[in-house]
Amino acid sequence: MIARVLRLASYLKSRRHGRVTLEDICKDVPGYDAHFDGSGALVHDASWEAVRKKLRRDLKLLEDAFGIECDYDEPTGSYVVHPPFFTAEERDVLVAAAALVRVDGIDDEQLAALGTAVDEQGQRVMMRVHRHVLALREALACRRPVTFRYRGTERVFDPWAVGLWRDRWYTVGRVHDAGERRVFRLDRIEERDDGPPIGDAGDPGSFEPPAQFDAPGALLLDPNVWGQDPAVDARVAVDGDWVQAFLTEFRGSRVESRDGHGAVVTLTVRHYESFRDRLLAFGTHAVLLAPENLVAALRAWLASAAGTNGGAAARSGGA
Amino acid sequence: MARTTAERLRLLARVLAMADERQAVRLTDAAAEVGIDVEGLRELLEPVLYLEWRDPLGDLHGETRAFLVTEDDHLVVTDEHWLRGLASKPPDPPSALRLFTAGVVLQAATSRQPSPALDRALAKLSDVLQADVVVHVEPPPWTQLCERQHRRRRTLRIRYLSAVHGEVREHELEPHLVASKWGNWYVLGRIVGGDGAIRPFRIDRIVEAEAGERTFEPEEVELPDWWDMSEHEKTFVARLPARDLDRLPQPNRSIVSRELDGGRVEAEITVIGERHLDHVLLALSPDSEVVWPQEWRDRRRALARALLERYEATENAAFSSRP
Repeated sequence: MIARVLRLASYLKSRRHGRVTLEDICKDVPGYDAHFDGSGALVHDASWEAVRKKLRRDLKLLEDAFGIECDYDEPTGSYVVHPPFFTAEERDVLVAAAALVRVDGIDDEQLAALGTAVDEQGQRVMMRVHRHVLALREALACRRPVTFRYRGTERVFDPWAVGLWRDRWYTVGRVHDAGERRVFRLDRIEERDDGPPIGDAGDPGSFEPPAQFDAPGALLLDPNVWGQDPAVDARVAVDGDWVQAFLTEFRGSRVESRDGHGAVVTLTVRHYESFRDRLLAFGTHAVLLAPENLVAALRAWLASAAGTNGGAAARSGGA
Repeated sequence: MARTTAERLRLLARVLAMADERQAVRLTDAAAEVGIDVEGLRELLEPVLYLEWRDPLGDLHGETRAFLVTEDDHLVVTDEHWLRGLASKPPDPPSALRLFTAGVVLQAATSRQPSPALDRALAKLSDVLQADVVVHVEPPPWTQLCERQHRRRRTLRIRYLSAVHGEVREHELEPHLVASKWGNWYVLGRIVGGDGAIRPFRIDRIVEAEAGERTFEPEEVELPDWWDMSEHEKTFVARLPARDLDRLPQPNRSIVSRELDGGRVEAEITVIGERHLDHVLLALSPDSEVVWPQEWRDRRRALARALLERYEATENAAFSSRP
């Protein structure tokens, strides 16, 4: 029976640019036996009905095991094979991608799906997909609001996009109560005892992301991109060995000048708190030169840490 | 092998996929992976290996070129996997997401030689997902040089900023593997003249790199599932506003041991390496305090003082250089 099904597939392949009738199949593919009259036409008797059913079963098997789909065209009484979803070149390149990249966190249900049979020893890039991504994708695809708990607050949310930024997954969209755009980190969505962490909160088709919404831009989650503080231009003196790390940490920063000791780097700051915390990673190797208000706030922060280890001076020294 | 035809076809699809995606697969390995014996697998494969039918003119056709079992019992795809070539069903959303993620990484890694086929495939997968899924991937500078030296089997000279020690060191490395894990890119290499161990170096911490000329024999190196950094763990106890736990520089592991008044907590905070410890200590908000160990309370003060002194020195230098 397997041989018959595979012969059918091969035959359909040979005729994939045209139409194939039941009569063609019965004549050319062993295993589909029907009666023909003296003129060579198929006789519509009980064996005809049986072979039709057999063909239908075999086509279903081909679809389930190999994803090969075939439609019956009533007016012409013929079968038409759907065009392949991927070209051979596209398949090859996706298999190459799967051979390079291991993607954790997704349980594929399609056993022979493309890229699931690669040699895992050769995978050199490992990515993680957070388990909430699929639930949010589904909600997004059918434009259905979702609900989840985030930092102790129940949220109703229209997801507009999901994305990965520096190894963490986020979703961006609109929260219903505030009516404003927000970004949520998926690993901070809280578990529930009474159901899945992300639940339905409305009907499909309930929202549409704004036409001007730029998903890649919205998921560039550098606080210096999305921060709401008044934008200021900062200048930072960075020691030579640390310049590259600084430029990597603060994307969009530029070297203004260099000398034998290091460089002066400029960047636009839109999130003061995050900028201060990230700058502190460079310790004495990066000194903020401007603007004055941020320099003063940083020095006050350091003064409180240096002098009192917290307490009154710290609070008064804050920016 | 009492299985339904549907089950047997699904097994066959998996085995043919292995041969397709690995160029060749040993029959014993394939049989073990799908949970049948080798004879059962041979029986399963027979139709696909010797598949023939006649056209209306009586000419013999078949796919006998596509799948072959070699003399040493490997199943290989010599032509194309024609069954997959006929597949019109799109991958389901989980498979599409997996392929999309892998494809975006490949696209980023080959951005200097774009592949129209990959771009087309990603567009199709994006249509399957019916959602904006954005995967930002950006290999750090020096990744290509690391890759090139790995391929050329030549060493790599680097100035490397050690996260553990917080200082720049110079090394000449044999780059045995360039790999990425969870957003970070690494070169796994042996230091020339070192202790012989192959160690991971994060590529974004390479300050400078240049090609070396020493040759080496590449070794099979695997990216480990986990690096045991426990010997570099630093743990301290701090009292701080609860909301600050989310703000502290990542990565860290914090366990709240006690809730205090006014929305404050006492937490045990663990970080890896001296440099990261210094960062977290400096990033503690002014109304936080390190309660244990005493030496790190002092360390926080000393770090803050040293940084303040640097600011004062910078300010004085700027003042004295004014006309």
